Amino acid sequence: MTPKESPLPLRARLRIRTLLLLLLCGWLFLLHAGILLEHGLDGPRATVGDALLEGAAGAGSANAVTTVVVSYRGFDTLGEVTVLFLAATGVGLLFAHRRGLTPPRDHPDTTPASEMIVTGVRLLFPVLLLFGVYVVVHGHLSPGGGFQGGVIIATAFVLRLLVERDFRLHHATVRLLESLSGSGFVLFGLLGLVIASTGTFLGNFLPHPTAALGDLVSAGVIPLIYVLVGIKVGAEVGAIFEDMLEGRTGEGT
Amino acid sequence: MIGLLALLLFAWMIAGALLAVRHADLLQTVVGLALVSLGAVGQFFLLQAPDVALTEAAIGVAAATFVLLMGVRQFGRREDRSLR
Repeated sequence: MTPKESPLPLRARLRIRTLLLLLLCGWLFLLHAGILLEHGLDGPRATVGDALLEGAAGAGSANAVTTVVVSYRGFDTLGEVTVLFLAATGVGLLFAHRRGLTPPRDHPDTTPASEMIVTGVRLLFPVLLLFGVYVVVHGHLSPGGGFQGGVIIATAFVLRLLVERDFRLHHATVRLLESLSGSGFVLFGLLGLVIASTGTFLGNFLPHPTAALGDLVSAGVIPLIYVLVGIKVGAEVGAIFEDMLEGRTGEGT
Repeated sequence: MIGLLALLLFAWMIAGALLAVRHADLLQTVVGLALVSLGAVGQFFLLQAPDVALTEAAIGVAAATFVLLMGVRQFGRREDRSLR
């Protein structure tokens, strides 16, 4: 259909849609500004978040968000990790099937990266790795944790994958790390269920005194679970990127 | 002060989005989307959600950009005008 036949309805529809979009944007902006400006005021609020925050002090974790994510909502976290695992498997299947069939159209990667970039990435690699491990290990003390740190670690490997043409992740090792950490997560959950003192799935069965609040070794089982989550997320995201990148070298090998 | 910072970040994000929409070079478009995510990191930080800010920095700025870069790599840098 040519636009000359019915220009009016199309244009009118587009205008309404633009107007709605503008209204939505304005509403979101007002909402955002309202939330932001309300921050300094201490009004009486009774929400689930406040109740969780009150209980979070007893878990011995300095970062209340981590307490909620790993302890109170640990089952949700297990579900999220499972979703990520399924996504990684799906991407792997999709790209393994298409490997070598769709070479890049204009072969942008036939020229190797310059020496400056290679050296820079090699310098950046250990720093990024260290930062990722820091974020994972300090998940119960400061903002961050397994998900964020895992993705940072994966990013470090991705930079090297992008720059160095003969850099490869060992597939079997990645899969093994992923399976072991996933099994470890479930094992910790079951241990919490079995041990009589907690009796709930993912219960905090290790000692977590509130006196040790803020120490690196505190909060009982929470940092251990978060380290496992970090390994699993790092391995999964790294596997996703590796699968996507390997489409490029299908014609090279 | 916080309101001013939020407005600046909004301007930053809108500029990034405009860059992403207007630019013909898809590599620059991906950079624009990464800038939008970077502005969102600042917004989350202003809203006192540093955990979410860190997640956005890791996923939105790094990982999502990488996935889009893979797309650019597959389909070429030029924007196909016929798809518009």
